[in-house]
Amino acid sequence: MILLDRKNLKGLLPGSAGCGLPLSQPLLSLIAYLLLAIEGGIVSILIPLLIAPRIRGLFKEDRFECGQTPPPYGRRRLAMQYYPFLLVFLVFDAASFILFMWVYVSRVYPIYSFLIFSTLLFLLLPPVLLVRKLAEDIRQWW
Amino acid sequence: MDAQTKDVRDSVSFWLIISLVVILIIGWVVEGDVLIDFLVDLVSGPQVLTNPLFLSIVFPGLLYVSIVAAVAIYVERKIAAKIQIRIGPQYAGRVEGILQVVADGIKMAAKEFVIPRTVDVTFFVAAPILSLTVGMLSITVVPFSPTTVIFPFPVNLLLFFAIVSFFPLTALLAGWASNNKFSLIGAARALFQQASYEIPMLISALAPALLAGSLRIEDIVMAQKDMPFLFPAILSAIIFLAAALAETEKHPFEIPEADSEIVAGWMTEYSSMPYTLFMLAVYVKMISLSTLFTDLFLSGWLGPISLPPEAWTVVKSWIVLLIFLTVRALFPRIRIDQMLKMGWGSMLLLSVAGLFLAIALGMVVGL
Repeated sequence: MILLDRKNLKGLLPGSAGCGLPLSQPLLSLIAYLLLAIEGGIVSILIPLLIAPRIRGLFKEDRFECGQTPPPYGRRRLAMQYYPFLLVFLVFDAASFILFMWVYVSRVYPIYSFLIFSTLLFLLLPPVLLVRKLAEDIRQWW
Repeated sequence: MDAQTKDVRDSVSFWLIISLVVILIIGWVVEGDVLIDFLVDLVSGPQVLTNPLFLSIVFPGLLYVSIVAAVAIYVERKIAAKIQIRIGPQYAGRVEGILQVVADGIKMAAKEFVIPRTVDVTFFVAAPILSLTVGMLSITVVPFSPTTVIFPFPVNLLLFFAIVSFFPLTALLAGWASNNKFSLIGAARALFQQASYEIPMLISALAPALLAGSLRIEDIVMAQKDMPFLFPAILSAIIFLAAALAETEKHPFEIPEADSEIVAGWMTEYSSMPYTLFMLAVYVKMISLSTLFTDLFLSGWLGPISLPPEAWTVVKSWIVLLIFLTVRALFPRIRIDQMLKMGWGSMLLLSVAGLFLAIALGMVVGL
């Protein structure tokens, strides 16, 4: 069909005169997808703001406190008994991403890479034992 | 005009302006020739499957994830009902409540979005959009076949984990902006939960990558030509499945939302469509995790019978998704200290053991 010939159709739509970005195909899919996802989120939030009835009430816009009178500040101080977990996680997360480099050296130096990376794993055991000990303190859970 | 109405009005106008800018960017980036290519491909046969706009809009993009998420919500409710000897959705659509999800969607859109006067309005509104975007973004790097992937990337396995680890931060944003103690506790729990499951998840995903010698998911699938990595890396697969359940905050790891303890966790103050967006993001993440599991351990698009490669990936990922949904109905919720103990104890040790087991078995079978 002559209508489906790309050459005949080029330049018909606005924006086809070369003002678009010279993007590779994958990047184009990613950007189109990302923008559609953001746009979908924004439109979904605007729908109830535009069509749903907005009825005022004395307590309606109060914070949810299960029927209690809400205090002025909602953000409370959190007990930080699990704080060491976050610290160990910070170290461990970086170390676990370093472990992924094993993939690239495993075929070239199989024995050395195995020794080095398994040593790295075992070096990380003492902090794990520490946080495990902390987790056994069941009296402080929230 | 009171301060609350002014805040809401400012926020709506802010997002309207952002929305217009986004539409302008789409118009600028997606030039006319791209649209013509898309339309021509659409009527000319199977080559449309590799068209960038088709990939991002239809499959495996927005349309696919939205439809599968809706079906997953319905199937989850039905499975949970059958297991717990209830009926589940029954009336909407007459046949087994098949239109319940559509009815729920319309109901949620027509509900008032209550914005409490004490919240930080801009971040309160931004959190669900960010959550949905991060959830949707997670499926862009997961291949359904060598050509059916929205964003092919040389180290897409690492990119996937980088995207997914943003999710608890959106929970923290929502919890902090809500200015509510239940939300804040839920957000802190989401962070602690991530701190416990992410390491075992990364280490168990390392096993198939090591067996294939690549961090590119396409290479990992092609290395499973003779045998799916489920067999040499069985322990890693089980740990990965458990960590993926924790990632999606479903039972037994529904700790940040814990309805009977902290109302709805970090989503306590949300209503209407923003709440739906959070839910949708969780299901989209579930779809991308089940597809990643299929690619890493179940040989992805390779199958014994000659079918389109995408069909194999879709069928296998649906089976994994069904396992997620069934497990959710079977187990009670554990506590946050039990989660931390499990994540830093048995899960971590088993994931390391699974890694060494996979290496040993891989050497035995000559992978």
